Amino acid sequence: MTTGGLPSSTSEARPPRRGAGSFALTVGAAAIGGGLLQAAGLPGGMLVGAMLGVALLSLAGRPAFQHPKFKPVAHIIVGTGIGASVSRDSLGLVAAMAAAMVTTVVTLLVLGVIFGLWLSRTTSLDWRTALAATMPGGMIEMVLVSDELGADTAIVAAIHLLRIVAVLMSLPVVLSIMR
Amino acid sequence: MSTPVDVGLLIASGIAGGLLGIRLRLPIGGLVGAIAGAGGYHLVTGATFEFGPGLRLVAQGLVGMIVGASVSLHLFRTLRQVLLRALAFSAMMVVAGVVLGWLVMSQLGHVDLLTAFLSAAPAGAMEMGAAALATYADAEVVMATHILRIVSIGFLGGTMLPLLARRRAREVSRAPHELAATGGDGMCTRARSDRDDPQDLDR
Repeated sequence: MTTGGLPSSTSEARPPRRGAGSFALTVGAAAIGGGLLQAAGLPGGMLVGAMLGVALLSLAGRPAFQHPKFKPVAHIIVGTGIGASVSRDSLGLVAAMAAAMVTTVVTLLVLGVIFGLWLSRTTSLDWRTALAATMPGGMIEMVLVSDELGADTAIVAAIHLLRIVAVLMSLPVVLSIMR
Repeated sequence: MSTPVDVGLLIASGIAGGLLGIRLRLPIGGLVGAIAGAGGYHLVTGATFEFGPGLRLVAQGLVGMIVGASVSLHLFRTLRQVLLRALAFSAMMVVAGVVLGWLVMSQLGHVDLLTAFLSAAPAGAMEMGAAALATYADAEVVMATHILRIVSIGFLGGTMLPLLARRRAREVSRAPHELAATGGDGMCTRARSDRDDPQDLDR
């Protein structure tokens, strides 16, 4: 399975591009897309714009540069930034919100299961693939679970990715309203 | 005010924590480990550094690039049989995130709407963490909710689904006469009589 991407289990998947040229093109697409939305003042504009810029590049037939180390690096950068602002007050706030967090997670899980059952009944997806695809856990974790179940890991990964992209695409609109 | 040495050690703690999290194969190990490493050092020593606007943009750009690189025509070909329903599911989850953020996280948890939505939105933890940094939301609450979601659902999925699969397999093995009616293994396919057209998959 490709790191950060869909399982390349079919011959239709193009291998990710490597090399300086592809890297420059990908970073350029991210910078242009992100820069445009950020300049437009959209909340989370750099995040969504970079995603859109690189996605458009990929959809135009120029597979984006991917490297297995990118995601761990991004995890560490984001995690360090968040860890640097942790305080006892914020830990206390997290503890006080336990009930709200658990309620949110349980509700999302129930919705995911309901949708998974609906998918399995209205399409040719077997219940294992459908549930692994719609339970809103982490993409990597659910793909591993689906692999253990003998489910279709490509479809599981694709549906999780689609969900992530949909939420990210909604960010500028939702965040603008909530601000 | 933290000295450059303090800042360097704080960052090193984050990196070390992230690498350890990956090594231990924790769910989103790099993210969880880095938060624990940098957060632990910060809490113990008080050292901190301003994750300034430039760094936040870089983090956002990198995360956006990673997600965007996963989008391809292959994604849509993979989903072509269930694309409409998958899109409907994704839209529903966006709405669920908004509603849960407002009703539960904001009203029940008493956090601002921005933090509430980013906490409840069922996207990746890394993506929502980057969004929280970008929008100056309460990133600790956002990450705690996502870590809880990923760990608990990953655990449930990893234990309950295989148990369910084994139970279904035992039921099928005890009732072999049902195999013909269900058209195969009794688990993966619906009964043929339920289908109007086996090729009409996304009706």
